[in-house]
Amino acid sequence: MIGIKHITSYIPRDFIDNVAQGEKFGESRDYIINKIGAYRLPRKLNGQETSDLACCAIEKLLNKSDLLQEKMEALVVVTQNGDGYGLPHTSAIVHKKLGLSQDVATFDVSLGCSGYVYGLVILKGFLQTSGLKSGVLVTADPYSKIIDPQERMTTLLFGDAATATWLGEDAIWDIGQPTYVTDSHRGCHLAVNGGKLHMNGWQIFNFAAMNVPHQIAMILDKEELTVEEVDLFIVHQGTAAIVEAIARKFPTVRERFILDLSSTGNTVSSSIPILLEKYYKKPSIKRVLLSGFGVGLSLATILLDRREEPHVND
Amino acid sequence: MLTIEQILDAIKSSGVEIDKSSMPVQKTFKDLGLDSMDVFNILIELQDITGIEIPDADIKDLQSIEKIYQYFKTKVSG
Repeated sequence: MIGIKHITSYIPRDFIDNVAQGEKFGESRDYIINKIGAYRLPRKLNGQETSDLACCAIEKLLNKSDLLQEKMEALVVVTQNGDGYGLPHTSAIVHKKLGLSQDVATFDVSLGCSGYVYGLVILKGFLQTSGLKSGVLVTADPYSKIIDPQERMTTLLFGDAATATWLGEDAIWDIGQPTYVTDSHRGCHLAVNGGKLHMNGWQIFNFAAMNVPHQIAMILDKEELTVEEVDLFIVHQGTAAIVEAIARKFPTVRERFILDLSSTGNTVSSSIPILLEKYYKKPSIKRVLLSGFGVGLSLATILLDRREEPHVND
Repeated sequence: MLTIEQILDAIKSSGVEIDKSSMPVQKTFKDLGLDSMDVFNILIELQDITGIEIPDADIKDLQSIEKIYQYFKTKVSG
């Protein structure tokens, strides 16, 4: 059975001071720290491409795990801001930069903040169907490419980052069956027009606050679990306010909802794996719920379960 | 129909703190020191209670407890 074996993240060193940026828009320090949730927003270097962020995350994965580059059989990049105009696909560019073997499958997945959950399911299914044993899921979606620094609604939120997750056999974590929501009628509320990102904050907040708690309840009901049987809830770190609005709906386990975007901001599809990297090795964490929401509008929720013993040859 | 007391309870449930002794009903949320995220939280709670979805165009008018009271009074009375 294919599962999660290792996760790494790459956060660019350059950053924007978000408190100072907020002051330009008349926003208080309290608002930036406690409602947006991020005092700094990482920024890729000028000239650094999406594929470069992806390569940095993969190189960390290769250095920190037992994954051998020659054993990689598939590479998936979740992005909506790939290199150039998206043709060729960014995963093929990463393939070239890393000098991967010609028999490695590569493709991109066009999704925003729900992309990591989708990506886990897509790559797991792809590996199993293809008879492959090892693949890497990358999230790399630098919104700095599409943010207008004069647009208060977006420039205060997003940070650049990338992550790499190794999926393979004998894994630590099993990937469960997800639930999905697509509210395409609201899709226009988080979209690129004229080359810049535009967002209707109320619509996105409303979509997440109304749907995420419901989906969490649904998936737990489907798996016949109580909220208390989940050790950690990692929902997309859109803003501190939305994470807290979701967590408030689960008062008995509210402290299990991770709020941690202070030094990264909203890193789109990378926000969930950045946090998962911090917790997935802790033995006390046996079950984690992930929920990503955003562009589409789209929502995907899934449970991860720690294996008692690594499964061999199953 | 929502009462003022129910709106105040909804504000409390939304995690937003206001000083009830400061005669908050007529004051704008801005004057009460609330920000846009606070208002979003309050409106989400009210949507939950009433089952009425608040469209974009109405948000800018819902900037005090009094305005919210009048808004839902109109919605319910049709």
